[in-house]
Amino acid sequence: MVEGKTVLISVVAGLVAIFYLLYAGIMLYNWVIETFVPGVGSINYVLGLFVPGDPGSVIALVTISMLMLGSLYYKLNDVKGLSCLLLGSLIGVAMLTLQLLIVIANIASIGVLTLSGEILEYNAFEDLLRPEIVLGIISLTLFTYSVFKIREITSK
Amino acid sequence: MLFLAVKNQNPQKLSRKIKIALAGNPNVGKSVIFNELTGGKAWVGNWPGTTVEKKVGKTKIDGYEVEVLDLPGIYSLTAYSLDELAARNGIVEEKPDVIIDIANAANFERSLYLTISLLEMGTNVIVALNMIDLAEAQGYKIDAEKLSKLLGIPVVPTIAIKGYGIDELKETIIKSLKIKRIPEKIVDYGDFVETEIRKIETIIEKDSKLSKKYLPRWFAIKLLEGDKDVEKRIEKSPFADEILKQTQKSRKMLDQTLQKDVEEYIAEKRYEKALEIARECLKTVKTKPLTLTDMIDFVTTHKVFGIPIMLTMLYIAFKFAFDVAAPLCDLIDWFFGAFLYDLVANSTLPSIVKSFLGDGIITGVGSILVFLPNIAFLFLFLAFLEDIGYMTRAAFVVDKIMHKLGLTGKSIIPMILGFGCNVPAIMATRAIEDENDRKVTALVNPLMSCSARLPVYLILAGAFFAAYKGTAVLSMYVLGLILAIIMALFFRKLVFKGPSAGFVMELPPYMMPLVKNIVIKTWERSKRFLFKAGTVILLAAILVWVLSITGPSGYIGVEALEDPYLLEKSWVGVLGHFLEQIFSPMGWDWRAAAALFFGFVAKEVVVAAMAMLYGAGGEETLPGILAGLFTPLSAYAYMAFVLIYVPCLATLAAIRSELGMKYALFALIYEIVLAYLVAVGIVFIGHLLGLS
Amino acid sequence: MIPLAFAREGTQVKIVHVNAGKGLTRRLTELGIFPGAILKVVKTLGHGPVMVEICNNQKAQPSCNSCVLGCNTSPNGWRIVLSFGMAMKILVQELM
Repeated sequence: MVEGKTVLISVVAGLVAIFYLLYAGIMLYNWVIETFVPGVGSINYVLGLFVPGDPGSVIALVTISMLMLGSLYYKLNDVKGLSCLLLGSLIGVAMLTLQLLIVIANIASIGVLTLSGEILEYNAFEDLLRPEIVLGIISLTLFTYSVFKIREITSK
Repeated sequence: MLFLAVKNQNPQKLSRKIKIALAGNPNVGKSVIFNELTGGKAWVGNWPGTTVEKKVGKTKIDGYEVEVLDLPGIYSLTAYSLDELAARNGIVEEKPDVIIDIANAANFERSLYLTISLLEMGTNVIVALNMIDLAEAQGYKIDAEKLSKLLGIPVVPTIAIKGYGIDELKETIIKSLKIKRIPEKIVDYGDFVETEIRKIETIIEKDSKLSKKYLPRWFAIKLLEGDKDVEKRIEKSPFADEILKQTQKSRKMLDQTLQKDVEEYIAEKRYEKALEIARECLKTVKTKPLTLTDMIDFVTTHKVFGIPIMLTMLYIAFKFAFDVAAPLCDLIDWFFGAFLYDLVANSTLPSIVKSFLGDGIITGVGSILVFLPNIAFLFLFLAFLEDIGYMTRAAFVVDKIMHKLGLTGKSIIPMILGFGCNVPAIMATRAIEDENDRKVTALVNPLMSCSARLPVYLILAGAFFAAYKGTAVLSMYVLGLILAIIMALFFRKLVFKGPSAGFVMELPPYMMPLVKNIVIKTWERSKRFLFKAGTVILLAAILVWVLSITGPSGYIGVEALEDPYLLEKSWVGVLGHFLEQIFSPMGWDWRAAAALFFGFVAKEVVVAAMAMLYGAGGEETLPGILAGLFTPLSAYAYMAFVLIYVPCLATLAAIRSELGMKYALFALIYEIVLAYLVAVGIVFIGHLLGLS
Repeated sequence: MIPLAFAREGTQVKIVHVNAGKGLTRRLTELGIFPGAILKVVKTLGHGPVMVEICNNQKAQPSCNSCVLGCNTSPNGWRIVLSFGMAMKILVQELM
């Protein structure tokens, strides 16, 4: 039973790691293109998600990916692997939260700008259908798993 | 029993005003207890004659007015560290009625060392045994009653962040007022040393003034340890020579008999006593369990993962500080730039008053406050990382690289703070132990592009680099970083040479921070930006205003703010034309030069000054006007100049208060030279590349 | 006898000598680092700072290969990080 769960989680972690890496790569490409090579279009919409060219985000996504892969390297039934999963998913959740906060802030900004008479539109979907959010939700499940597993271990 | 408790004969004689001091190691929760007692409100200053921070708060307990003195976090009471010396002298000069020694149950032996040192001074100490929950999580329990018996003083178990034990602590404070303790020997240093102590003690007792101020035994021990500060204090004593002679004799004798340095011997004996007491009171409940902290640390200090995690935290900090705080900035911008400004403009006040209020004060204050959300949010996230315990791990992981760049692991916090505002950043360099490292970190800090320079970048980048606006701005930050590294290396290797004294850092377990504490910390730092920077910028805005409407020929009139031709006749115009000569290689006209001058006082003012000088109605029309007067190359050089030249006045003041006037002037000069060189360099290289 | 800076991660060491001035030696002593004390090298990144645990009174433990986790000595207090410079001045002897 336990082994089964571990295998499942490992697979999810592995897949998530690949996707984080993939989107990070696209983001990096986009940033390079947009900054240094104007004229060549950037890939902004991949697999249903909007991908901006944010270099900082690239670092974050790559880090998460590394940690997820690390959890596989150290094996999830080992404390070391579990620690990697915990931190990796935690950062994933942090990115999710951050992005949600940004969306809220953008909405608030629209509100403020209306005060000065400007009427603007804001398409929140563009900011919500992002890898940080979708992959972040998956990270949330991995995070919950880690927390439960760790509670088990540290209370022994 | 180490103390004889004697009841105070005349309790009525106790005034209703008392003074207590909080002592303890760093990271024991001292500030939490301080906040619990005083509500977080404190007067902050310096211990006289030092740069060590002194924090004083007030509270009421049982009808008494209590002054709460926060001593710096220390491990012992030697004369080797400024913090320790300040704490020691603070105790002697301020004479608190009770000292609360906050011991860390989770870091017990280390805490006890300080407790013993305090008892040796002969002060009235009570112990707050904090973090008992953490100790239990680490697998052991401490017998507070036994500890109390062994030390002879009250011990109150507390969990400060939960408020547990605080009431009992308050009661114990009042109770211990009424009991006068007669100190006895806490540490037995062995027959040889004790004999010598007694010899010196006897001479000290002959000086009634000295023995009233200091406990003779403590004084004698310190003399044997070779404490320089204590030696200074005997100078005025009639028995000074006798005391010193006996001390010398004793030290020589003991060095021989002990086959070891007396000072080392005494410190070790004291430490052994701490271990002894600890062992008697510590009860292991279970073998050290695997803790969450261990698990997290495995990853955060990992050879491979450590630095990426740190960079990620940095990214989140900035994204949070800029993107999430944006609506608040917009709100403030609207409030000052539109709402208040229009209010004044449409009022019926005389035009000079309107101008003073509108163009002077409102614009001035508004331009500062617009950044407050960004700075506050950055500090908030940083405070969160600090209180949760992560920043020490970040410093550990980053130290090696920082050294290669001329800095140190602990420089990371000031460097990050510097992106918000350089003023609190430079104050944060206090945490760096090594003098040279501290100096370099502080001197290089102004190259961290603070939020004040952002509007200049945005306006110029928006006007000249439209599509690449983001990149241009980013390149400024990167340029700042690169220059900081180059200058840091230059300073550390060639100017402030010498091996780094290094640091010792404790790694407390990760703990969920108290929202209250994070907010207080954020407020303290943001406050510095607000008030120190704010007052200066406000004055600057007024100064610009005054210099714009007056000139060598006298008062010109507020119309000058709207009419560039009139403006040229004002002081600002005179100044600008003078500076124009110097900046001719870059092709900046007199107005841009004049704006730079005002930026010296506070860099935020540059844009407002430019708007006024170019006769732009508001800042929205400025880009259009600038497009005709700069070229992309000269604009980029201008941005770089603003990045590098001169720390703003408030930053200079901060450098002066931390390092002294000499270094403040040095920073001023080196930066202006560097800025000029870089700006000229940019234009030169640009011309070589055929750009214009 | 080697400087603490070069001690291997996961080993337990005994301090033989502290090669520093009065102030530094005193400071280290008060934290529990003096000749005769036993430390465990929890983490070391090579030419950089060293993370140690002070485990006086504990029997020498076999080294574990990842010391941050699974240390079953009960340390005296929280872990300490010593800068590279300081670790160079503390001379130790590897136990086991």
